[in-house]
Amino acid sequence: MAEMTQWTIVRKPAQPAWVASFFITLFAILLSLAASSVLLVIAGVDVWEAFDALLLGAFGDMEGVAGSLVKAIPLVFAGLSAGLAFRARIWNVGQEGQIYAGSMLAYWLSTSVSLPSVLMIPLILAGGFAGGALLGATSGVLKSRFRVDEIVSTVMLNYVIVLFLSYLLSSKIWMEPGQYYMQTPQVVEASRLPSLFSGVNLHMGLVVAILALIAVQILLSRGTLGYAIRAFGWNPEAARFRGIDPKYMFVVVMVLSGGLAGMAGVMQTFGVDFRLTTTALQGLGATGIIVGVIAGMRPLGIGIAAVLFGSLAQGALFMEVMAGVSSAVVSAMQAIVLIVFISSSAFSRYRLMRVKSNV
Amino acid sequence: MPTTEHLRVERLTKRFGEVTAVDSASFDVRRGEVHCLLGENGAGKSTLSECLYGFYRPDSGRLFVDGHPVAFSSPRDAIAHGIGMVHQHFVLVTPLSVIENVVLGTHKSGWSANLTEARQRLAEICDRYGIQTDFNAKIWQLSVGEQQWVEILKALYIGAELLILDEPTAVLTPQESERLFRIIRRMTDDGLSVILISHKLNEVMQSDRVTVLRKGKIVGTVNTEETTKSDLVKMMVGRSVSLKAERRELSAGKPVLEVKDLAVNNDRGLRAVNGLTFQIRANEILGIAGVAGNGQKELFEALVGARKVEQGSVHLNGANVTNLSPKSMIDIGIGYIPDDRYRAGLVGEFDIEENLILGLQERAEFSRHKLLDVKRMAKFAQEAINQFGIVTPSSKARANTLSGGNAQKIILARELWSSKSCLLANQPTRGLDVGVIEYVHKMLLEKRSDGFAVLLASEELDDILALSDRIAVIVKGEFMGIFDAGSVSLADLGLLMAGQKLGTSVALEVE
Repeated sequence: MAEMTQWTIVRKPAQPAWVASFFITLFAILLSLAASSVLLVIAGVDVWEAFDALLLGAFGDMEGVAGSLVKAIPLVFAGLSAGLAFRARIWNVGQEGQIYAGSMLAYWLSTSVSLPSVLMIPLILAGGFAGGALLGATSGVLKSRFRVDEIVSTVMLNYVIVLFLSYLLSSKIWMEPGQYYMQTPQVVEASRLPSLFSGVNLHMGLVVAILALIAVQILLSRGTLGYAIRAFGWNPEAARFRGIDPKYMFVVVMVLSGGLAGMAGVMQTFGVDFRLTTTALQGLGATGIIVGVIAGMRPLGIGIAAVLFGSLAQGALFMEVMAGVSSAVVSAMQAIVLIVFISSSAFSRYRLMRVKSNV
Repeated sequence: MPTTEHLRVERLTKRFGEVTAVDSASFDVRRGEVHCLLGENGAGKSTLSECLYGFYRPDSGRLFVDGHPVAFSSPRDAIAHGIGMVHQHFVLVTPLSVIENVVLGTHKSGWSANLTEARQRLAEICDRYGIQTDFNAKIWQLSVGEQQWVEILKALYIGAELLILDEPTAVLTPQESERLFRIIRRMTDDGLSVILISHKLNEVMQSDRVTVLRKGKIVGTVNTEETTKSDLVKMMVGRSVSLKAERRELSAGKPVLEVKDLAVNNDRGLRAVNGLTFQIRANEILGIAGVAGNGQKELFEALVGARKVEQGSVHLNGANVTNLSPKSMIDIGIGYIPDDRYRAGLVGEFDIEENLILGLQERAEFSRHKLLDVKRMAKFAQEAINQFGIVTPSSKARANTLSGGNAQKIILARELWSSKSCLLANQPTRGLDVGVIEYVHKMLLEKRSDGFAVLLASEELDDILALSDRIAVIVKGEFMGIFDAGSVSLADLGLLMAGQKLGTSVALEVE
C-alpha cells in the first residue's frame, strides 16, 4: 500500500457568469496591485506614497474623477471596436490607424464647412465614424475579396495612415501657419465637444460613449446582425451553411469596428486635444484592445474596464508628479493588469487539485 | 473461451457535477477475450472506459489488473499497467511519418529518436498481427482507416496488453472493418484483451461477451453466443424497438429535384462528384448507398449552395437553382440535414432557441425591425422540444451540452419546419441511438407522404433499404447505377459499394 500525492488540473463546475466575473475582477485587481508594488519597489519608489498619489489623482476630487472619465471615453470606443470584431473572430488590431483616420476625416470636415455647433458636432461624429469605417472596410474588402489576412492588413494600414498624416503636416497642407511644430491649428470652437457641467472638465462624449455601449449591447444580444456576428464568430462554417455570407460579415464587421475606433479619435481630438499631431492618439488603440479583451468582449465589462484604465492613466499623472514614478512604470502596470486578468479568467475555470491515490 | 481474469472493475462511480455518468459499475474482462461495451449515446460507455484509461478519476470504486488493486491518476499510469486506448478522434501529428508518430511520446524518444530500433520492433509487431502499413508514409497521406492502424500500433508499441477501442469502425469501410476484426482475433489469440465500444449490433455479435449499459448503470454481462440482437437492443433501450419502419406504397408525383451531369470539386480542387444525373419526384426517397468519402458530402454541399457547381445543372420544381447562395437555397425551401451536425448544422455555443432559427433569423416569424423576437423564439423552441421529444433542462441549454441525438433533433425540427418541397439528408442517423434512428426514419417517411422529394445518403444499408424507393450506389463520385428498391439485395449493394459491377443477371436501370 503506497500513497501517492500529486497535482492535477481539473475543470471547475460552471458558475453563473456574473459571480465568476466578480471574483475574477476582485482577485485580478488585488493581484495586479501586488505585482505592481514589486515593480515600484524595484524602481525605488515608496509604494504607499505612489498608490496614495494614484488614488488621489484618479478619485481625489471632482477634477480627478472628471479626468479619469475623460480618459475612459475614447477607451470605451476603442474597446467596443476590438470587442465587436473579436466576437466575430475577426482580428481587427488596426484600431490605432482607424482612430487616426476618424480624427483626420472629422478634422477635414471641421475645416471645410462652417456650421453652428448643433450641426457641426453631429457632422464630426459621423465623419469620425466614417473615417474609421473606411479604413476598416479596406481591410474587410481585402479579406473577403483577396483573402488578405486582416491582422496583417490592419497593422500595415496603421503605418499608412500615420505616415499620411505626417505628410499632410510636414508638407504644410495641414500645419499651423507660422509654427514649427508638426501640428494642426486648433479646431474651430463650434466643433469642440461641449462640457456637460459648467466648471467641470467633462465633455459630452461621456453621453455618446454610454449610448454607444447600450447600442452595441442591444445589437449583440437582440439584433439579427449581432446574432449573425455571434454565430459567425463561434462557428463560421455552420454560419456559412445557414446563409450567413462570410464575405459580407468581414466587410460589415470591419465597417462597424473601424467606425467605433474612429469615434474614439473624435473623442480625443475634439474633446481634449483640439488639434491633431502624429503622436496625440498613440497608444489608444492598443489600450482599447486590452480593454476589449479583459472585458471578455462584453459591452458592460468594456465600460468598466475603460474606466479602470482611464483612472489608471489619470492617477499616473499624479503619481509621476507626486511620487516621481516614471510613466514607463505606469505602462508596465497596465500590462500587468492585462496579464493578470487574462490568466485569472483561466483560473476561474480550472483549479489545481491535490489528488491522493491509494494503491 | 478464455477464463483468466485480466481486468476487474468494482462498483465504479463517476460524477460530473450533478450528473452521475457511471453509477456503481462492476464487470470484468478476461485475458484473451473481445469484450464489448454496448449502450446508447450517453449511457456511460466512454466515461467508463476513460476511467479505465486513467483519463478521468473515478469518484469511488476499485480497479484490479491481474487481481492486483490499481489506481490511475493519468493515462501514463494506465499505460504502465498495460492498458492502451484508441480514441474516436485520433491524436496524430499529421506532418510526421507513421514511425515518428509511434515513437513520439514514448519515454525513449528524448531529443532525437532512435528510429532504427523502433522500426525493428514495430516491424515485429506488424508481422505478428498481420498489420500492413508503410512506416515512412506521412499521416496526412493516409486514409482515416489507415490512421486508425497507426493509433493501434502506438498502443501496441508502448506495450498495451489490454486495448480499448472506442467505436473503431465508425470511420471504416465494411472491408476495412472485417480486416480489423481479423486482426483483433489474432491479437486475442496471442493473449491480448480487447474492450470494444460500439453500438453496431453486427460487430457486437462478433465479440466473446457483451456488457450492456443503460443510463450509467450496467444492465448485465452476457455471453455473445447465448444472446440475440433483439435481446441486446431490449437490454440497451429498455423496450423493444422495431427496426423496420412502416413504409406505405405511394406513387411518385411530378419531378421536384433534377440534377444533370453535375460535377463538383473537393477542398483540394479535385473532382469529387463526376457527372451525376438523377431526378427525384414528389413522394419519393432516393437513397444513396456508399462508403463515406465517395463524394456524398460534396454532392450535398453543392445542392445546398455551399460548394460551387463546376459543371452541370440543378433544377428545383422546374427553376434553375444552380450555384445559388446557401441563403437563397434555404429561402426557396430546401431542407438539409448535414453529416456533421456540429460543423455545418449547429452553433455549439448557441442555446436551443438560437439554433432553431439559425438561417431563419431574418424571417418575419422570428424578428421585427432587425431585432429578434425573443418571445416567439422561446415559444417556437418549446413547441419543438415537445414535438420532437428533445431531452433538455431548458430551451436555454447550449447545443454542445446536449447528446448527439438531441442535437440532431434540433436540426430536424428546424429543417422540417423550414423546408417546403425537398429534403436532403446526409448520414442522418450517424452516431444516433436506436430509438432516435427509429424517429428519424419516421420523420423522413412522413415528409415523403407529404409530397416531398427526399435525397438520403447513408453508410448504414439498413437506412437505405428501409426507406428508399430507388437506390443509387456512389463510388468515387460516380453512380454505379440507380435501382428500384426491390431489385437489389444487401449483398448486391455491398459489391457495388466496393466498386464491382453486377453481372448481367441483375436488371440495370441506369438513367
